[in-house]
Amino acid sequence: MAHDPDLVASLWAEYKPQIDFARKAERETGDQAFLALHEERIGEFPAIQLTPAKYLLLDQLGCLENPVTQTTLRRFLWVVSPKFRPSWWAGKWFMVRHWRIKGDLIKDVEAYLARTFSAMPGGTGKKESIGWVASMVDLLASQYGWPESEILNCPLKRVFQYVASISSRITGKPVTFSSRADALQSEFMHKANAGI
Amino acid sequence: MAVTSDGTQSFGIESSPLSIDAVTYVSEGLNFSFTGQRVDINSSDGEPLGSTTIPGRVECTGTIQLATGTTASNVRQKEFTIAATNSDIDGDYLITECSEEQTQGDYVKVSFTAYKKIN
Repeated sequence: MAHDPDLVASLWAEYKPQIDFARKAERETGDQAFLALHEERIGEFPAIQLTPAKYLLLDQLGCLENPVTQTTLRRFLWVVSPKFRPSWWAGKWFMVRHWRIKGDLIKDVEAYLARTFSAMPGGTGKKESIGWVASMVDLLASQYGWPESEILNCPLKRVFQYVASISSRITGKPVTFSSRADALQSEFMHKANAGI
Repeated sequence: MAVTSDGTQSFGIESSPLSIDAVTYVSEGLNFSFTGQRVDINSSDGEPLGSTTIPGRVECTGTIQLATGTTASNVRQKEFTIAATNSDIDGDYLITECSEEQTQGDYVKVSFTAYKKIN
């Protein structure tokens, strides 16, 4: 462990603009979530912005478990498709039509999930008996008086921002996460403390 | 007429490195308050005769991103130094309280409250 003030200062001069840029980009992405001007895509497949309801459905269908199979990958793409409807025939038609989907789409699915969850509020890491979706519905319903169905169908990117705003207002000391900026800060600390 | 700060003026620093026990961390959302107290002198009838202000401590709140795998998340009673260009906030700070650690993926953060040491 080392703490060389000159090294820290020179490293910070290098990292600070990158961290600021990452935060600005994340804020802009957060704002864009309210306009839905940019269509989400998973590879060539159009996708909706993931909502708590769709997340729960993906979870129930085993689409969030590893290892990802061709079947779970096709189910995932069908559930987040703008054309999705709860019809056995419609689902079957999608699965048959896209039977040749390849595993290289997995990285696009991971990127889609990473974009969705990048602003997710942190947790304490404890195993709670209440799921995080229930906690968010409870928080938004109690604060804004929104009905359950509205919250479950609100894009997660917006939900996370509302939760952060409520947390900031209530606690006055919010702990926020920003995946890209946090990664850069972590990298900076690693170099500063290793004396690289 | 002299203008006296009412103790609620805050300055913010978005993110900055800070050192605790020779380990470098990154602090976020640092906010400073220059606290103060007004002392009133009234007559026996309760009429105001005069007032004065006593400057209080410089208080600081913020968040620290912990360096992975290096230290415990309890940073209470730890000291750090701020050496910014603003001479009012520069100095040694003592952390009075901190939150339970919050995690998201690989990253761990705690919020804290500190005050600027007098000496």
